[in-house]
Amino acid sequence: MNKRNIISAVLIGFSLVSVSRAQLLSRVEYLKKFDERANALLASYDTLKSANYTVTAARYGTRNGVEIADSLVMELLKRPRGAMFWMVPVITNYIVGKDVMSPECKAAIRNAWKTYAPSRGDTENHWAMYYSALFLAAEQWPDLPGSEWYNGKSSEENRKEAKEYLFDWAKLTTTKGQGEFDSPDYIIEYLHASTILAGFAQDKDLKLLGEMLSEYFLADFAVEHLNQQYGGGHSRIYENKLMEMERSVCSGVAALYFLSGEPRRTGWMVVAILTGYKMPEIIYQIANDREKSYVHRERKRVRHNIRFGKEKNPAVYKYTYMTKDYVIGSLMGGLLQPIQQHTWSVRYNFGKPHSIIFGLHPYWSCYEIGMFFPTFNKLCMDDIVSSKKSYNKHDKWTGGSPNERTFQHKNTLIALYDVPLGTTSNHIDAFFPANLQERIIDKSGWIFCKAGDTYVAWYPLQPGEWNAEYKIAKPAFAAVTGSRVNDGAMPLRNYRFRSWELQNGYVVEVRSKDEIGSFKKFTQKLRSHIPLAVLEEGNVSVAYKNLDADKMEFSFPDGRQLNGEVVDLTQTPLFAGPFLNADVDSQLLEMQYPGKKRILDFKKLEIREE
Amino acid sequence: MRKIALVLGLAVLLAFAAEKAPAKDKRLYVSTFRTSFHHIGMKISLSGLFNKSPESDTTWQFYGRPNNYVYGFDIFLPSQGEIMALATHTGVHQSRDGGKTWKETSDWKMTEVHSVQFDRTNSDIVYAGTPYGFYKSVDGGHNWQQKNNGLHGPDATYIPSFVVSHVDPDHIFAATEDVVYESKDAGESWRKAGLEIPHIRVIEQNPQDAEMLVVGTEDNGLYFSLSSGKHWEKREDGVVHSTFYTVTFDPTNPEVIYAGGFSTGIYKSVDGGQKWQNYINGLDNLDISTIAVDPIDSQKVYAGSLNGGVFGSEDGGETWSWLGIDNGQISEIKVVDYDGEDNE
Repeated sequence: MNKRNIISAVLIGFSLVSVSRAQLLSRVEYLKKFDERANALLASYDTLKSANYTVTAARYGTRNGVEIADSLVMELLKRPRGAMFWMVPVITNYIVGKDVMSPECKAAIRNAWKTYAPSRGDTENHWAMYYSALFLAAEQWPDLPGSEWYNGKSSEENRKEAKEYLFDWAKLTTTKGQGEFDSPDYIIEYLHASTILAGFAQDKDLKLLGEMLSEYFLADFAVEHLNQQYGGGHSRIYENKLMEMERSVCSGVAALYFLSGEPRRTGWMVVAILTGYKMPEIIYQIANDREKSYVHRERKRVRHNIRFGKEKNPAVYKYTYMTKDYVIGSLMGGLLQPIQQHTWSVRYNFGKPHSIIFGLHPYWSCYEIGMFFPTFNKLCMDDIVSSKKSYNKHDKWTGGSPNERTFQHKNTLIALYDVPLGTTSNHIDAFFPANLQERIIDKSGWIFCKAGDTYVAWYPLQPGEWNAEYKIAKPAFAAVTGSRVNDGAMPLRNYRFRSWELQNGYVVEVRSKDEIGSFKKFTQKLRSHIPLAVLEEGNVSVAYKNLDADKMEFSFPDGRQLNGEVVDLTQTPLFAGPFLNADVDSQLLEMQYPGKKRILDFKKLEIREE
Repeated sequence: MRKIALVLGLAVLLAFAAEKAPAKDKRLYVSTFRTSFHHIGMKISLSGLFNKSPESDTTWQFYGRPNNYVYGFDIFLPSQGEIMALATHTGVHQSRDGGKTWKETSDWKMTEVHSVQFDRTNSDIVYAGTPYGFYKSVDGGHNWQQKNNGLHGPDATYIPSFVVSHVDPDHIFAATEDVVYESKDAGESWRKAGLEIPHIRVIEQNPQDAEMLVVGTEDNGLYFSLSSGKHWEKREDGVVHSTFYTVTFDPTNPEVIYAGGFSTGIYKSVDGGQKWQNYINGLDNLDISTIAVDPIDSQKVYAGSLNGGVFGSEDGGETWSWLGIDNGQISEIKVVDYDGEDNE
C-alpha cells in the first residue's frame, strides 16, 4: 500500500456522522481524532511539488522537503498576487518555516512585504484577513521604519492600526452581529483571520481575541450544522456549492473540527491546522448532538449600507429548526447581502450532495449593487458579472430580493412575494432535486416529496410549470457528445418549478419519520391543511394552520402572527436557543451543553467556564 | 472630483521637478480607478497615477500606487516642495518626493475615498469625501477626523465630490446621494444648499465666478446655481443625456463649460450653460468620467473615459484622438503647470 492509499485509509477510518449524546467523544478522544485527521490532511499536501503556498506551508509544517518549499516560495514571490489571500498564507509560511528556511527565502519574503502592495479589499472577510496578517507580519519584523513596508507605515504603526481595527470589528460583531454571516464558503476566511492570531500572535490580547473569535465562528456554524452541511439562510454562497455543499469549504471545516462525516481533503484547512488552534469540545458536542430537535434564532447584520437606505447596518433575523434528519432555516427576506444571499432552504441527510429544497425570486439591480459598493450605477452590472456570472440571470439560484419575505415557525415556512411589474424577473423559482425518492404532484395542491426519512410538502399559492435541468448545460452536453438529444447519459440534477404570477408564495411543511410516522400518513394529514391566500398587488397574505395546529398569519411584507400573537422580529437576540445565547450589545456568547457552560466575554476579553 | 485641475506651481519647484523629468514645465496627470473587469485578487495592472508631458512624451510614466483603486488626486505646490495626495479605496496616500515613495496617511477608519483636496493656501489642511462622509485633516493628512455634523443617514454621507470655494476657503459644497450640502465653517457643520435633487455625482465652481456652481447628476441632468447655491435651475438645451460624472470650466473663459457622463461623449457650452453642443468625433468610449482644460492653451482639452483610457483634443473638444492607457478606467485628469506663479 503506497503512502496515498494509506492516507485514504486513515481518512476513511475516522468518519463520524451525527450521533446521539452518549456516543460523543471525550476531550482526549476528540483531540486524538482531530490530530489524526489534521496530520492526514497535511500529509496529503507535504509531498506535492506544485507551486502554491498551501503546499509550501504543509512542507514547512511537517519539515518534509524544506528545500523544495524554499524554492517554490521564492518562485512564487517573483509574481506576488492575491492581496489578503496572499498575505495570510505567506505570513503563515514564514512563521511556520522561519526556523528552517534558507536566509535567501526569508529575505525574499521580507522584501515582498516592502515591494508588493496588497489591496485591503472590500468585504469584511478581506479586512479580517488583511489586518490579521499585517499584524503578524509587523510582529515578525517589529522595528522597521515605514520605508520598509509597502504602505509606508512603520511596524509600530501597522501593529497599532491592525489591532485597533480587529478589536473594533470584534466589538461590532458581538454587539450587532456578524456582517458577512453564516457563509458556508467564506467561513474559512474568517477562521484564517482568527486562527492565525490564536496560533501566532505574540501580543497576548490579540492571541486571546483570535482564540475567542475562532470559537465564535465555529460555534455559530456548529449550532446549524447537520452532517457537514451548513443549515439555514446564508449571507453568501456560490451557486454550485449551494447545490453541492460538499464542494463548499464548510464541509472541510465540519470534517476536521466537528469530526463530521467522511474526512475531506480541503487545502484551505492547511493554514488553520498549522496554527495549532484546537477547538474546545463543547463546540464539537453542539455540532453533533442531534438527540433533541430545537429552534435556534439569531440576529446578524446587513453589510455596510453606504447609500439607498436609512441606516448603515440594519438587522438580519434568522430562524432555524434543527433535527437529526433535516434542518430548515430562513432569513426574513429582503435585500440583506449583495449578490450571493441565500434566504431559506430545507436540507437533509438523504441524497447528498443534492440534499436541498428551496425557492427564490431571481432579482438583480444596480440599485442593490449601489447599496453596498461605491461603483458607477450605470456600469455596475459588467463589474459584478465579471466575477459573479449568474448575478443577472433569470435562472440563477442565489440572491436576495426586496420582493420576498418569509415567516417560519419550527418546521413550517411561508414565503410571500409581491413583485412589481417590470422588475428584473417576473417569476419565482423553486429547486427540487432529481434524486428525491418521491415527488408527487397531488390533487390537493400539495407537492409531496420524500428524501429518506425526511418528508417535505410544498403548497404553491399560484400555478407553475415544471422543467427538468441537467448537471451539464445542454450546449455543453451537445459539444461533448455531438448530440442534441438527452439519451439518458446526461445526469439530471433537479426540477425547476417556475411560477409566473407576480403576487405569489408557498407554504412548506417538513417532518421526519420520527416526527410523524410514515410518508403516507404525512400526505394524508396534509390534504386537509390548505392555506388561505389573498394575492393582489399590494395585498398579499396567507393564513395557514399547520400540522401541529399552530395558526400562522402572514401579510407581505412584515405582518407576522402566530396563534393570534404578533411576532416581533426586532426582539430577536444575537443568539437564542438551547446551545448558544447572547443578547444584543452584550459582547458575550454563552455556550451551553448539559453539564457545561462556556462564556466568551469580549468586553472583558476573557473565557469563563462554569 | 473630476474637476478641472488647474495647478500653477512655484518657480522654485522647477529644480525639484527637473530631477524627475527634464522638461517638467507642464505635465498631464491621470489617475486610474482600475482596469476593466476587476475583482479582488486579480492583478490591477493599470491602477494608480500616471503622468506625461502633453506635448513631448509618447509614453506614460507610472507614479504609483499599484493594486489600488485610485478615485482621484490632488497636488499641492508650496515653496517647500510638491505634495501629492491620492484618494483611493484604501484611504489617502501621500508622496512628498515626486511620487518616488508613498505613505498611506489615513487608517482603517477611512476607506473608499472618492476625492481629496488640499486647502489652496495651507497644505496642513486637507479634505476628503467618502461614501461614509466628509473628513478633514489639520496636520497635512497624518490624522483625520470625520465631519458629518448635519449629514444624516447613508445618502447624505455618500460624498462623491466636493468643492472648496476659491474665494472663501471655509465655504465648501458637497455633492451627495441625498442633495447638495454646504458648510460655511470648513466642514465643521453642514446644511442643505437649496437643490432638492438626489444622486449628485459632481459639483464644480466657476473659477472666475464664485457664485456659479454646476452639478451633474445621475439621471437628472445638469443644474446651475448663479447664487452660490441658494437657487438652482436645470439647463438642458441641447442635452439628450441625463447622467453626468464631470463638469469642467475653461479657466480662461467663464462662458465655456464642458460636461461628460454615461454614454454622453463630450458636451460643450460657450454661453455659460444656456446651450450645449455634443461632440463624439474620435471618442472610442463615450462614458466620460473626467475632463481637464490646458490652463495655457485652452484649445487643448483632455477627457478620461470609463474603460477606454485618455483622449485629447486640440480644437476645443470638437475632435478627439486617443492618448493611451488602454482599457484604463480614468478617474481624474489634471494639467499641472509647474511654470505658474501660485498653487491656484
